[in-house]
Amino acid sequence: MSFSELRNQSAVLAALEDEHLEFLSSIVEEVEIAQDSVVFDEDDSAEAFYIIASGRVGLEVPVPTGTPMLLETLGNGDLVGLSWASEPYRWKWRAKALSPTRVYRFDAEKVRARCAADTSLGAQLYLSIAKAAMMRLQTARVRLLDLYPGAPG
Amino acid sequence: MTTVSAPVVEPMGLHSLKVVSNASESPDTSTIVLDSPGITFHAGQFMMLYAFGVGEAPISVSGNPHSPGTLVHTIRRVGPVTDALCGLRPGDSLGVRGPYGDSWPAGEQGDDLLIVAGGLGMAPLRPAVFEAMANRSRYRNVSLIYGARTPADLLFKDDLVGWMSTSSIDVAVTVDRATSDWWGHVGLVTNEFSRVDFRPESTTALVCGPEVMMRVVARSLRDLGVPASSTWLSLERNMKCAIGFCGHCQFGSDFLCKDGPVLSYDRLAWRLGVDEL
Repeated sequence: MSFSELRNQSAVLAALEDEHLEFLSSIVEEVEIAQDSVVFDEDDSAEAFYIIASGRVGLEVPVPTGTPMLLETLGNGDLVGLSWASEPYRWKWRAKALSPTRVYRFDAEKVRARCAADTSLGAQLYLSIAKAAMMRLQTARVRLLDLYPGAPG
Repeated sequence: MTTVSAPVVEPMGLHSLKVVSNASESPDTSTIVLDSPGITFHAGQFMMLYAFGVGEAPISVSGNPHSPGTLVHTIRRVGPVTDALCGLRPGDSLGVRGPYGDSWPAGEQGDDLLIVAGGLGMAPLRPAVFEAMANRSRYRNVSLIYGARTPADLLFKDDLVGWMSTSSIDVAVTVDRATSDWWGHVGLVTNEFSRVDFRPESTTALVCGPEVMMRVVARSLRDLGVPASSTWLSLERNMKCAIGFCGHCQFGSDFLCKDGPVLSYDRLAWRLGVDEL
C-alpha cells in the first residue's frame, strides 16, 4: 500500500488537508518490521509514531513472571503510538509486531516542531489524534465491564 | 424488512426428544444435539428445553436450519436447569417446546450482511451464518465479527476455522484478554468495523451478545451510517410460557417471546437505556 493509498485506510491521515499530507509525506519513512520485533518499548523516549500499512502490531505489558499480556491489537491503517504527542514523550506500553509488518514511520520531533509553527496542521493533527485516543478510551472502558460472561444464549 | 416466525402447530405441545451427543465448547458451555424428526426452525428462533424434574429454560437454536432432523442447542451453565441440560448424555431424554419467536431478517438483495456476536451471543447467530452461506449470492459481502472474553471462551472453533478458510465470508475474531501467542485480535468488537468490508447505508446488521455490548455496537453502527432500522438485536428476558401469555418477558410494549427476540434497533434504542426495564 502506497502512502497516498494509506490515506483512505487511515482515519488520522484522512482528516488532514493535502498540504499537511505533503509535509508528512516529506518526512515519512517506510519500515519493515520482522515478526516478534519490538517497535517501541515501555518507558523509552517516544521519538516517532507509526501508521500500519500491512500486518499486525500488539500493545502489550511485560509480565516478569510470565508471558506478556496483550492489551490491544492494531491493524491496517491504525495509528501506533500516542505518547509522542504530549509530554513527557515516553511510551507507556510495549508495541510488538505480531506478524511481518510494514509501517510508515513519522519523526515525532519534526512533527511537533511543524505543528508548533503551523497551527493549522497542529489543530488538525491533534484533533485527529484526540479522536483516535477517545475511541481507545471508550472501548477500554467498555472492556473494563468484562461483559461476556453475561451473554445471553 | 421483516422477520418471520415458523408456525408452532401446538404452542404448548411438548416433544420428548433424545440426546444424540453432548460436547463441551468451553469450560462452562456445552452443545447438545437432539434427534428431532419433523421439527423445523428459522435462524434466530428459540426452543423451551425441559430437563425432566428440574425445570424449563429458553435456549436459542444454534444449529443449521438446512440440516433437518436434528436440533442443536448451545447452553451455558448458569443455574439448576442449565446445569441439568448440560449434564445430559447421549440417549437421555428431555422435553422440547417450540420453535418460538421471530427470526433474523434476511436483508435486501445486494445488501452487505454484517453479523456481530459477543460471547454466547454467537449461538443464536450461528444459524444466521449458515443461512447466509446457503444464500450467499443474495449479498454483496458477508462479514462476521466475533468477540469473547478469552480465546478459551470462543465457541464453535471448528466452524470459525472453516469460515476463515473460505472467501465467502470475512471473519474477524477478537478477545478481551490474551497472551501474544493468540492469532486473532485483542479489543472490542467495534474495533473490527474498520477491518471488514461493508457499506453502512446498504448493510443489514445482526447483533447478539450482552445488552451493554449490543448497545455500544448499535450506536457505533448508527454513527457509521447504518440505519437503526437495519440493525437487529436479539434480546432475552425471563421467558416462561413462550407464547405471549404470562408476561414474564415483557420489555416495554413488547413480549420478547412473541414480538421478539429479534427486534430492530429503532424500536429498541430508547428502551435499552432505561434502568431496570
